[in-house]
Amino acid sequence: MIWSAFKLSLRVVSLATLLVGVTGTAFGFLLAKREFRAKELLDSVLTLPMVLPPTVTGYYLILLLGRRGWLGRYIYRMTGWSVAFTWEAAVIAATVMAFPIMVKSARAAIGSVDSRYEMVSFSLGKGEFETFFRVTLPLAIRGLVAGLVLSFARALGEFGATLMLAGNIPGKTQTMPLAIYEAFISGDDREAQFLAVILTVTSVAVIYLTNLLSHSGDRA
Amino acid sequence: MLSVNFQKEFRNGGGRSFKLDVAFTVNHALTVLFGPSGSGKTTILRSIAGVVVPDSGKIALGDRVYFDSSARLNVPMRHREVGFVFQDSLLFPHLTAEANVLYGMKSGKDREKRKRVQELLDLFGILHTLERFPRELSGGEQQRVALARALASQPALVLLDEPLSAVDVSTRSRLLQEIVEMQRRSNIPFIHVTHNATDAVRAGDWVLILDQGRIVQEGLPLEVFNSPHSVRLARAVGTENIFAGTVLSQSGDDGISLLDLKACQLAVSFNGLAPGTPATIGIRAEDIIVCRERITQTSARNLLQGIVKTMIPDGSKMELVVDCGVDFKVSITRQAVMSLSLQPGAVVYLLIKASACHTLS
Amino acid sequence: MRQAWQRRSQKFGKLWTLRALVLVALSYLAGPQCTQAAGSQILVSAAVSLKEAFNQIAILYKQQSGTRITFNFGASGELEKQIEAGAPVDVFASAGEKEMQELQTKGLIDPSTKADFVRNSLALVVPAGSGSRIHSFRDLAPPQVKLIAIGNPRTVPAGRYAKQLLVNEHLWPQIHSRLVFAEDVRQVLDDVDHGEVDAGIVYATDVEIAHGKVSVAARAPSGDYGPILYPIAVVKGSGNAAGARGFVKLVLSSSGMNILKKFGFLPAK
Repeated sequence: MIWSAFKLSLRVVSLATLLVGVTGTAFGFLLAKREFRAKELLDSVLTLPMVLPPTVTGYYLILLLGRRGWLGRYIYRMTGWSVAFTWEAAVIAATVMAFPIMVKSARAAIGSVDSRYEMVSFSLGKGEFETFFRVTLPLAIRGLVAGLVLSFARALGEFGATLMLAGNIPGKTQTMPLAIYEAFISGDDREAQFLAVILTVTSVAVIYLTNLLSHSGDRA
Repeated sequence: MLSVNFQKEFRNGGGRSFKLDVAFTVNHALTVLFGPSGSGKTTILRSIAGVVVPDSGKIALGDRVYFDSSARLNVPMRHREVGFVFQDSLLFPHLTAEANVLYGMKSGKDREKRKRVQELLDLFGILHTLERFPRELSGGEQQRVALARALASQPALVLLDEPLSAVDVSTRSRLLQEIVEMQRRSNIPFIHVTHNATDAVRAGDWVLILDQGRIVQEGLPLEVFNSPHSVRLARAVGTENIFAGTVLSQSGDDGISLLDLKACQLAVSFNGLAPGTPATIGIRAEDIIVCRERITQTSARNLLQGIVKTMIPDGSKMELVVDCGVDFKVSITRQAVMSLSLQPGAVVYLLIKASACHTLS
Repeated sequence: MRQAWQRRSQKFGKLWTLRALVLVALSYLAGPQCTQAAGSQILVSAAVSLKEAFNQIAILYKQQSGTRITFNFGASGELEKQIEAGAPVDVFASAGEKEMQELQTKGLIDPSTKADFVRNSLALVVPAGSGSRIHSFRDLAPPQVKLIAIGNPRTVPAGRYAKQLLVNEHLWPQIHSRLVFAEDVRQVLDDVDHGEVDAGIVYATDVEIAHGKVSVAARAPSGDYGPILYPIAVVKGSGNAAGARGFVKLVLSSSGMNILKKFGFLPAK
């Protein structure tokens, strides 16, 4: 049970972090470098999962993706498959909960890149895409990595929305935080402790490694 | 041949607006766009480059139309092939000097491109900066790399926006020379924006004077700077002393008249202005000579006694304000100040040639 | 939907509730009022399935003795943990013997006050009006039944009993990979109500209060599991032992049992 929770958590969190990294950076770029009317409104909506209690977010996810949900009912009708109580749901929950953190970090990191550098790139004949990947992204990378690390940590510890959308099914959707909780409640303190230690060590290791990488460019 | 004709209006929050309305053509190799800060020079450059979109007008380089409001045409920046050098070099901080210069280069094999970069940097004498990052370079080195980067992309036009402003005094002169050399070598038209009159004169085949959003005069640099036509232009080119007075007496055979400034009088070269006519003249601060003693055996038609009011250092010069009944701004070297032991309160004599007093309309 | 949310949020609220309770209770304990009979209060932790019945009994108790009851409803496993952690609970009513036994072993309850007061039975429910083809526990076996909700056997007594039932009916091997574990029984009810699962196993008493949101597909024969006996006891170190004992007495009395019977509970016999 312990190892299945560990492996499941790693799988879920890796995928969630990847999704969050890509989508969070994309929206962060949109908010940082583009002007449009509903901009701050969009920012508020994207920040919601961070501000609402996880259970409320989980509730909205079920409302959307459950078998009778606004979106879920069509998926169920067409494929007979519902995302609720699957490991994919755990990925969705973790992604949604970590997403606002990444968007905020990305917006700040990309926004701090002097837009004159982008202007220079255009004057040298490069397009938007190339400019983003060769100039904006490298200059924002520190902030983006920091955002990724925070998102990873958030995804790893995600409990509330996961429990609601994915349920607590050992081997299938029981991530480490859920396993710790269950072990504790059922009196299995040793198992709870063991899992907690693994979770802590993993988190510290990832954060340490990432910090090493992102600070390797610093001089004394 | 670059033809520029456009209008753009800027509104700020206070309801005030600044209108830029210019029309000129650039036929020369090294053109200077001169004017005080806020006159719109940078906006003109940015409009040519495509950073700023004018409200109306047309901008074209030869038969390539960059902007035409009547045809609703606006070529995006990246297709205009315009090189840009800024006041702060804006070199990409995460790339080495070599990578920076390589950035804008188009097709070609890697090895050839690298070779070209080395040649360019060598021309500037900064080959040693190849592997270094911008933060490790001096201001002058950065600007050279920036110019190399702009040239490497083989543009049709190079725009320089006050490239020397942030460079230290000792490097400026050399760098200015190198800019001129690079222009000659590359044979690409350069447009150089500056608010420094000396730079404009030293590095310009043609100068356009900009003031409050309009071109007020254009011509050969020496002519324009030494003979401003109007008060407005005089202010624009930095004539520090502008006085309004009344003609006292008519010119004799030598074409000199006396101008009454109430607190003092000046001999100026007018022609045929009747006594009693109001007139305005301008005198550049650098054209006034300062003496410690009253010298009478000189060719200068004006000798005014005055007291030094203030002294303000300005680079290698010192700007003095001397009260001769009317305040005169005088610019002399700091060495001169020292050897004459000048200080506020000192009594001095100002020597001014009649021909240094330009008539302004 | 609101109830589901509230129930689920109770889970995380549990930890906060613990702290809140500690604070609230401390302020009560600090005052001398708690030892008086009139205007006194007690804190009762009880299994979720007892909620409606106990609320009614509480009204009765207040009328009779003036003692006010604050309830803390939750999954028996959690409630047990809270008491172990020192929550200032006066009375504990569990949906399973295991949790009460744990507390007794740890010397946390007063064994003289411990008694089994009601029995419950299991029922198989399906979403109401769903045209479900499930009419018995055996109908859960075919793979078309994709998801079945029961309480978490590790932490929820109803789940334990459900597992027992499924094992005894020789259905566990086929079904267990399709099970969804809920953290308390009411959640199972919600999952079925919302159609998130095809069927669920809940208490018969839960069906009563479901008010037609779910349909009963089958009732479990009592031989296959349990018996599901609910014990009640006064917690040792209660700040209001008199009030606590009074409540237990009322629950065991005929008036208390009548209320419980009304909600579908069977006497413990």
